[in-house]
Amino acid sequence: MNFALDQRLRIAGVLIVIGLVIEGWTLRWNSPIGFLVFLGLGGLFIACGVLVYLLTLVAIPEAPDSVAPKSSAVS
Amino acid sequence: MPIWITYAVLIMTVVVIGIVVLVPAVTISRGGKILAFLALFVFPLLAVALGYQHHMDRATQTSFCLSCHVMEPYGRSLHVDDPSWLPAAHYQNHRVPHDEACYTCHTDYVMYGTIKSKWRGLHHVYVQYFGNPKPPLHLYVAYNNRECLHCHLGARSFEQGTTHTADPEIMADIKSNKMSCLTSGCHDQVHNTTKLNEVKYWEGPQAQ
Repeated sequence: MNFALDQRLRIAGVLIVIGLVIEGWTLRWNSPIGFLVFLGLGGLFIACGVLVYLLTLVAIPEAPDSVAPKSSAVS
Repeated sequence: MPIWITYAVLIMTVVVIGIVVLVPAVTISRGGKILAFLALFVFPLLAVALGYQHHMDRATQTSFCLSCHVMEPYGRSLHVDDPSWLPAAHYQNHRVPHDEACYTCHTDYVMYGTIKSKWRGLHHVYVQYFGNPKPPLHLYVAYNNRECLHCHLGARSFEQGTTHTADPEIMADIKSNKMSCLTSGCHDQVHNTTKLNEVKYWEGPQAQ
């Protein structure tokens, strides 16, 4: 298990869920301000979440030392 | 597209994200990685696209335009009981759809016209909240005959209208937008919001 990786996936997931909840809320809001909230707030959260996920993919955090293979070199 | 599809995608996305967030160990396997990719990239983008489409569709509705206080007199002008009032005559005789009355006449019937209209709409929102709009409002650019001709071109009432055919030059000037339908003195009773207290109103269905 890579705790840092899990943590980043959780952060991405939570950001996206917040954005989706905002989107769902604005779908019932029949006014221009609803569109602004959808795009400016919901879109921002979702974009941040997706960005965190993509950054996690291209820069996967290293696993803790405890699971890394030990060096056999002994002086 | 029915709104329930958008809601279904939203709920499905939240559920799948929930699995990835609560049980991140699933991402160890190949299938789990694909699930995470769907949950954290594909489905959210799909949900945003559907939501955006829904908002865009709703932005064409009469009720959406009239939700701003400053547009209220323009909504009232659709119910004036006088056929010489252009928007009222169009609205009351179903020449424009009731639920898209504003958009039908105030979009640009050109390539990317819808996108231009949306940008104008965003500017309206900016002015609504950060400016001080007061009726009578003014168009950003003069009304183009093209928007009238989108429907009226080829119609008998337009092509064979007595005034339109009185001189061949008139018809050519109308079609080339040299002679405005609205400001050349022919169809100049448009929303006329300053005179709304002096007119009678039609008792038909109210603006939505």
